[in-house]
Amino acid sequence: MLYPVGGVLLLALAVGVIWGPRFLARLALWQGENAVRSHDWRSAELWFARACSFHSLGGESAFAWARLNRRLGRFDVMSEALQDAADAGTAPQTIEREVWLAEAQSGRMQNLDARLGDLLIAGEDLPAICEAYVLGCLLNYRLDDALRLLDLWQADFPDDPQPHYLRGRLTEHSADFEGAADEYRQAIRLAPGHGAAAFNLGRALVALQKPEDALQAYEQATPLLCDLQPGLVGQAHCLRLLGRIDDARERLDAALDSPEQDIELAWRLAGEPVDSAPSRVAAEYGHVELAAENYPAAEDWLRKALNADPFAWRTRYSLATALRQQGKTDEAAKQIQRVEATKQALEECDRMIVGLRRQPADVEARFTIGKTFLQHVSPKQGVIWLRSVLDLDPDHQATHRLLADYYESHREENPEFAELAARHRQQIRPDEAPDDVTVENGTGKDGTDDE
Amino acid sequence: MSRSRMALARMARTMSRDTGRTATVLALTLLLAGCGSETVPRGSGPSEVASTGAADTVATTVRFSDETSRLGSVSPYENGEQAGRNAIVESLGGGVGVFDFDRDGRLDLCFSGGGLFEGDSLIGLPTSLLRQKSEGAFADVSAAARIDVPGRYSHGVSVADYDDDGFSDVLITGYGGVALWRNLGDGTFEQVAESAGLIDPSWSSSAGWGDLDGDGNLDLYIAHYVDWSFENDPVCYGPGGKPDVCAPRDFNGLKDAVFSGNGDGTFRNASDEVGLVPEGKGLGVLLADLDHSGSLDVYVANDTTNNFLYLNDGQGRLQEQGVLSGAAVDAMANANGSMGLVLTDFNLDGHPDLLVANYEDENFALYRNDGDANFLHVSTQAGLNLLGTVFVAFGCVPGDFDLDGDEDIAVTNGHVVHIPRNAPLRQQPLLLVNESGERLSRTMPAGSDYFERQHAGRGLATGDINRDGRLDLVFSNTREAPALLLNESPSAGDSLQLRLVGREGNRSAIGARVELVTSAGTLLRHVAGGGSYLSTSDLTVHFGKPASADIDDVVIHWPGGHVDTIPADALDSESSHRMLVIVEGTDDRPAEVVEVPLAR
Repeated sequence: MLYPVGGVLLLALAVGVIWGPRFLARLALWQGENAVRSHDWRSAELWFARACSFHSLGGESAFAWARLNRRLGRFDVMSEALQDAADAGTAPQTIEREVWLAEAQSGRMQNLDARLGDLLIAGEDLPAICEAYVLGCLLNYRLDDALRLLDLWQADFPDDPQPHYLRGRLTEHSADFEGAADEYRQAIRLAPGHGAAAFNLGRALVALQKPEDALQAYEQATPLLCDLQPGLVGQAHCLRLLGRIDDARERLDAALDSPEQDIELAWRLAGEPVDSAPSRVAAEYGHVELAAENYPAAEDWLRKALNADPFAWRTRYSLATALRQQGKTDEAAKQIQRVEATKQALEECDRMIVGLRRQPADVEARFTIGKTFLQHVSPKQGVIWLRSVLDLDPDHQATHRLLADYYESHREENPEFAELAARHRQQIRPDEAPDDVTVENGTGKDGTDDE
Repeated sequence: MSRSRMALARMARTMSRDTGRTATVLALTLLLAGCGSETVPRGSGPSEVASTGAADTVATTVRFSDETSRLGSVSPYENGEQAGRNAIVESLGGGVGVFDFDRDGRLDLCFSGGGLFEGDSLIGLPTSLLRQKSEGAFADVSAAARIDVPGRYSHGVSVADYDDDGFSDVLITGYGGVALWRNLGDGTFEQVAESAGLIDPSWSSSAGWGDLDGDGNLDLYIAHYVDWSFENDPVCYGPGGKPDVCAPRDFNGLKDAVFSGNGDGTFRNASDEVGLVPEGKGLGVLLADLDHSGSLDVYVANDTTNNFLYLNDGQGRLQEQGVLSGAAVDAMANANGSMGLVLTDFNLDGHPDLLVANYEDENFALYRNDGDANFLHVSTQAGLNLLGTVFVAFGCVPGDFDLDGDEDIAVTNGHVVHIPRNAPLRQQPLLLVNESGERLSRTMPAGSDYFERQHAGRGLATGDINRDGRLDLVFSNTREAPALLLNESPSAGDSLQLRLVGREGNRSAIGARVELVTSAGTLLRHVAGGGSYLSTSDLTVHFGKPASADIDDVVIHWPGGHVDTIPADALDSESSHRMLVIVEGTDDRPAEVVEVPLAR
């Protein structure tokens, strides 16, 4: 009697040994994909790693890993994973589509623009396509296009939190912080693990002068984001607004103590600009010490912040305040002079942006805005503006010269910059008189006067 | 495929044809990178009266009685919006002056009339003058006083005795020129702007009087707004694409003007010689000795551009030091949409601080004066960041409404566009009580629901209207009757009011600094030129004082440099509420002190 039972058990054991890891891997993969859908990047990474540790699922897991890294903006990891997926037999068109999505979400829209209709008709992977397209539209300032797609995306996928999150970002631009907060709340309702929505809700509530509510949102966001730092800095900001200076310091100390990972990635996933990411803790600490009227410490932190992000003109103004309050009026005056120069440039930029609403193809306005951003605000944003100039006028000499100079002077930051500098240099006609477009190098990193 | 998916596909095809040509512009960059982040679109939303969501309020003993009926049927300020022009000129509103024009000891009121559109031109509506009668009611004496002549489209009411004849004169600002109503002392006024050399064809908002060059004559600082005209009148849109009033950013700012008094009742334009900087968008102006250097400085509230702080070099030359002094922008270096101004020693440290009333989504700016006109933006520390984001704040006045020694602040609010996006069109006023120099907290006074209701607030002035020792409030609203609130707070504190009469300098004593030295500390007041928004408060200096505190003496720093110390024995009285007239002393003659009886 026992033999048949033993045989079944043995068979079950054999099946378990053979198919168990595969089953567990698939389960982990499924969990990971769920986490991706909920924008819970930490859990997604964990589940995908577990899936790989249980059993290789070949192309399927490699592609899922590639997609996760695309969405995290880790394009080098994505490329490798896509190669693995292709080697494991993933369809070439799937691989190709993922590359278009990666291009689009980083602002290069040509390929996705050209094929969007076909992709949408095909109806596969629509949320991923919509998200990449909207992100690309945002980077290229095609806000109306972004809004139209969001409407349709939301209509087809009412349970997807991401259109709410992205609409919240757009709503913030029209200073409708209540509306933005509502969108973020919707996103959180649909995906309680959506750390970026919780973080952005915090920012909207700060704008609405509700620091206590904002503090709660940041506390909710902190463990959900892939890094603790943005949430802790957000908390410190609220605590400072509430006058709880010691608590603010405590949060910032925790942010400093947290293991240093990819800070730019951490802030980007929180929906914040990456240019200022390395300076955020120091800047907030500086403002906390400024609020505490502890001016030498404020000066120290604010100099550190400016060292990490020399374009942060608001931080520079705070440094000037800390200096002025210590009687260092001459240096304060020099810092203020730079702040005012930046503000003047940005005011001019504002006027041009208004003009671009009437004449979107005004190349010279785009060039001036790009140059202003490159020199005063954000090189990344400046490059995007300048790229829009070349979209309209591929032979725009001043833009090629400006970009060549920029990439040349920043070649140590990125191995691709040398090649980009050379490529733009090649486009400059030898008979073209140099324009006054030299990129300023003296950014006064530590807040000392370099003029 | 669902219908929307097909629509997605259609849209995608359209967009792929338009690639690179549909780039609309981008607030996104602005948010991400900071460019233009000061821009606050003046937009759309709840157009009906709505609650401004009273934030947490603190308990108060302050009580106001709404005595608007005493004003009779005075015409509301009219901005002409019914013409449907959506012109920015409609948004400024009108002011109020509180002063005793006939020297009968009772404060009277003056309101600017505003104006209307008539085709492509503006016509002015008359100024109203209300005389306070013995029983406390007001009679409209505009016609009898001959001040009811329609002039230009008007805004501000700036009062001072510019010719030193003992009778307060009235300057009415507005679009295209100012009117200077000289008080003839017989209950009538005469318009003398042109003959007095006050030729100012610009668009003027607030104005402030003061002796800038120290020659003993009152000079005049006039804030100018933007270069709107019928020729420069763009169409702007609010939410839903509906036409609405344009934002100040759609226009260029105008250079302000300074007119120097010649001492014979005439003026000369001294704008260039004093060193004004170009292109502010001035809405509020205040003249006072901010750095205690002995000469009058000027602070200008500009709308969306840096506020100006002109420090006087003692010779009448003004050096703009706003940014360097920390008083031009907020803590994040943003230029605010600034309107109204308050001068007050908020933290009781002996230095005059500045409170600036700002646009929605911006905090009131409280600039703490740390001495020598070195200012620090302390709005967050004072709790002003907790008032909410809806207030579009205009007129604001300091006053010790609860007679506890420190000065509180009253504010009137109201939106400037017709279809606001984020805030109600009509808004609640605010009373901010000073909590021992630490915080300014919102309170809801008892006795009247005026602070609970919404208004189209603009002008605001204060003075002891019913002479009971407590400061009252007069509001000027757009297309809504002005309001009179009498302070009936059952306070345990005392009051001391000082009406200063200058001898060496200007008779109105504008520019004087007064220290009331008490056993509980020294209280500081200034006789300032301008302040609030489009309005003038009574120049009488008002102190509240806890009943338990003893007065040691009063020190008066007169414009011109003379200092009088009034000893305690000259101030002794059984009365808790007193008003004294103090005439400036000389080197060999002490100040004269005369008590004026109050109502209680």
